Amino acid sequence: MAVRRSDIIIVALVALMASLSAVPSASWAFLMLTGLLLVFYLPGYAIMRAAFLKPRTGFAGAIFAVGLSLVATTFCGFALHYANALTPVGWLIALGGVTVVACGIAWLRDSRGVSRRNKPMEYPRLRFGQAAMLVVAAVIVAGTIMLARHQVIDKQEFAYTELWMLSRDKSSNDVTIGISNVERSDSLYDLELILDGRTIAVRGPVHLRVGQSWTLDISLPVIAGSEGRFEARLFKDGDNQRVYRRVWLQAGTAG
Amino acid sequence: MSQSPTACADTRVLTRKYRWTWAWCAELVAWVGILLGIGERFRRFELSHGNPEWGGLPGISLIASFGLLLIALAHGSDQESWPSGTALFCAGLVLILLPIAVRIAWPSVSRFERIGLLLIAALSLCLINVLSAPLGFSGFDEFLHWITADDIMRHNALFTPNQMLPISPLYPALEIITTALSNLTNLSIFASGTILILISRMVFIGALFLFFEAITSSSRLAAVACFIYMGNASMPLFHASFAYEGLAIVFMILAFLGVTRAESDAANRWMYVLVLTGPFLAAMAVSHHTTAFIGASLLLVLTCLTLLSRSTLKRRLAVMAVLATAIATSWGWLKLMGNPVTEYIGPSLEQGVGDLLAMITSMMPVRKPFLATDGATAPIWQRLVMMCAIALTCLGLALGFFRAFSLAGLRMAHDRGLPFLRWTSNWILLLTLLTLAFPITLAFRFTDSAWELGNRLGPFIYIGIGLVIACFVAGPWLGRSSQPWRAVSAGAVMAILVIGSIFIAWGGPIDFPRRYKVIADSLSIEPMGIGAAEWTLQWLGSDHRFVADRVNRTLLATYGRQEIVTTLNDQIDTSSALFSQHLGPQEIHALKSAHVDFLFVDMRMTQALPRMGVYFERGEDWTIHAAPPEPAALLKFNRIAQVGRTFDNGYIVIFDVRKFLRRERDGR
Repeated sequence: MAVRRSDIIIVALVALMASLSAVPSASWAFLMLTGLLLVFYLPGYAIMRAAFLKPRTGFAGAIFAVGLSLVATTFCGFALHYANALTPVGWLIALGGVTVVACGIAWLRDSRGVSRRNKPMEYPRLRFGQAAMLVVAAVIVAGTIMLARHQVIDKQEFAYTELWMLSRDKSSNDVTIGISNVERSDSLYDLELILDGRTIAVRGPVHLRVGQSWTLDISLPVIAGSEGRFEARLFKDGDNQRVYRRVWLQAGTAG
Repeated sequence: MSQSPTACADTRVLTRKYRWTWAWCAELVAWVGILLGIGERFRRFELSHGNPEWGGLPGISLIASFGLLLIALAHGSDQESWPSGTALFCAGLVLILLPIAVRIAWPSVSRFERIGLLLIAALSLCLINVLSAPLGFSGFDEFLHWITADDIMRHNALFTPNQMLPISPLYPALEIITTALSNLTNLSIFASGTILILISRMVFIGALFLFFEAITSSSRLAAVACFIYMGNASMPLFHASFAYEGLAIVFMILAFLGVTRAESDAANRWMYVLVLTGPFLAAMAVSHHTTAFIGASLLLVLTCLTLLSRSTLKRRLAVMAVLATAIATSWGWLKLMGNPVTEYIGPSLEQGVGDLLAMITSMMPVRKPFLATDGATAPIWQRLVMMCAIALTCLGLALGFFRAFSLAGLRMAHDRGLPFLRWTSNWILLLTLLTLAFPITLAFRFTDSAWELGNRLGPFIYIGIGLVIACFVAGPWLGRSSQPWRAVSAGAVMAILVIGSIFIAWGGPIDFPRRYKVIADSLSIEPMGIGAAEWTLQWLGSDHRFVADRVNRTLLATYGRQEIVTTLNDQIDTSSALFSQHLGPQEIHALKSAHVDFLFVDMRMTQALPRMGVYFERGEDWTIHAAPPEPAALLKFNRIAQVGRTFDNGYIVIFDVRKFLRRERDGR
């Protein structure tokens, strides 16, 4: 009995072609297409094709193919873990290998003429108006997701300034102090540095635009092992009466 | 002694009155029996075109897309917006769900169109979730699984310990598939996980439709049952999020579908068992523990029903083989992983059952419905929609229960004078019996410790609920009628069921714009907390041991890649160290034992009680829930020498306690 095996060839070729995605210059669209097909469809389709004499077509066939692909991916993951190969190349070899081997089995079974094709699924004819509605719906959904992303990026519930201080090295007295402006407007900052209750330096005004950061590297004028507290006080927009932010560390060690 | 004529007349009047009352009662019982469909013979009315047609699918897709747009606009609305964000959100829900529900109930709709409508509904429910957090994960469970996925990507290995959810790396199917896609496409874990969830939801609803169709032989009944299934509170939010149960239930339904195929297709029976059902059950076993046990339990009942029914030997053997596979895979994996489930689920199950018993004995609900721990309560109209959905579900169950038995072919037969039950469909009988657990899950919702358990059982029980209610809707209600009002009313009820479930899933008042709330999981995730967590990774490096509240620990573990001290993993409760007025020996001991490096103090906790019921995690000292913590208590570390104040953004302060604890440890 003559059987059509073009689907096996196509699936095997796509799986082999997917190995090209290991090439660094592979395009984003190519990576997406092959990646989605390898994880969600091809292994399952090939396994179904190899297992059943009568290929499963239609909606149920597609559902089983996706489900089996998810199963194949899961167990390939365990295999790759034990082979110490949970890497992109490992995934390509594993999922591509499963697909190609299953296609090979399906080919052999078809060669013996045992495959009988089901009646292919009938798809209804799509009229122009219907196609237009589906396209517009897809465009609106894509636009809606973009809109939602923009809204979240634009929405800022909290306005704040980050002040922080870290010792760069456990054994030295080198300290880094940083300021980040995440307020709703540009701001002017003044920084007062205090050691053991004595002001040792004042820096500023530092003008920071929204989203901008500023860091200061400073060496503490104390001997290693000192127990004094080194404190940084931040004042905002010229208001020198109100300490806007405070950070400190124990001089001598970072902890 | 003879009675007087008056007494005789009275007796006659009374007898007539009793007779009339009895007759009235008997009539009432008969009417109730007819209403409930007791003894009614179920008739299937397919009323669909044989040929596939697009029908109203493109138009309804367009309407649903506008519905999604309204929901996106609701998220972007502010308090002065007109119409309000809440109105936009509800209008969006109605636009998405009502046309689909009405069309599914409509007579003479092709199978092709019904499948398309269900897929659009499932996709839309997922997208509603995506629209609320389009840039990154926001659900608490999503963060827990993100940690596991991130560990797989970083270490190129499975089973890396996860302090936040130690059981997650032991059931890694979700994370394996996500990281596979991430590896092959260079997409982020969030993007890969979202694609996986969208596809798995579509596969789930498709498989559920095929499963219902296989056991009822009606695409109309199957489609109605699927839509009603979407009325379980897990469908719109929890199963649409990046969590392992959402994937495991897909494998469970695929395995069930495989069983129905194995039962009906004698020629390929063992191929279905070996190639489809077995692998799906194995994948389910490595995806999620509870789903695996529930799946195996359902198959156990199915096997019992198959053995009791008149089935062929081969069919019985096939079902028994499936059951053996389910038990072997779920128990095998559990044992292989060192049985982490008892420790994880045991305490909450024990406490839940205790709460339930306490509630039954005292007849007082432990947990007030519609009231969050922080005192937030949904407006009356939202509560009405939720109660309406629950009431309609109960009514549908009452009207469909006996009709589902009828569909299962359940009848009383006699053999040698002995009565016994006989049925034709094991699956329908199983799913109908499953609905008896619905009242228990409702009761669980009135307890503090087991409401989540009741919520988690919902998706499984709703497989039965969907079918039973559909037996009434697609049976006597819609029947052969081609009158539009019947389809519209059925569609409206179905839409209310799903909208009500979305309101329930929301877990609090639906108000826009969505603002920060204290320990409210997705409502507490905002850029400032994320920024602070990212700062820790950039400037402190990874893998420092942090103490933080429930929300910030998820941010620290994911964006900050820090190690989090948890009671679940470390068996040390550090909550009092953060909340106590003074740092006493007990608190210092807890910090020392947990080898804490930093304390992440979010001053916003002083504003309100936690909406999720806990500041840190279950089992924390309940006295801290009496009132929000005092600012002075959280900032007590300011007064302690050797404690550094490393980071301050006005809301969040990070204290460095390494030096302090080292000194305490050294006894200086």
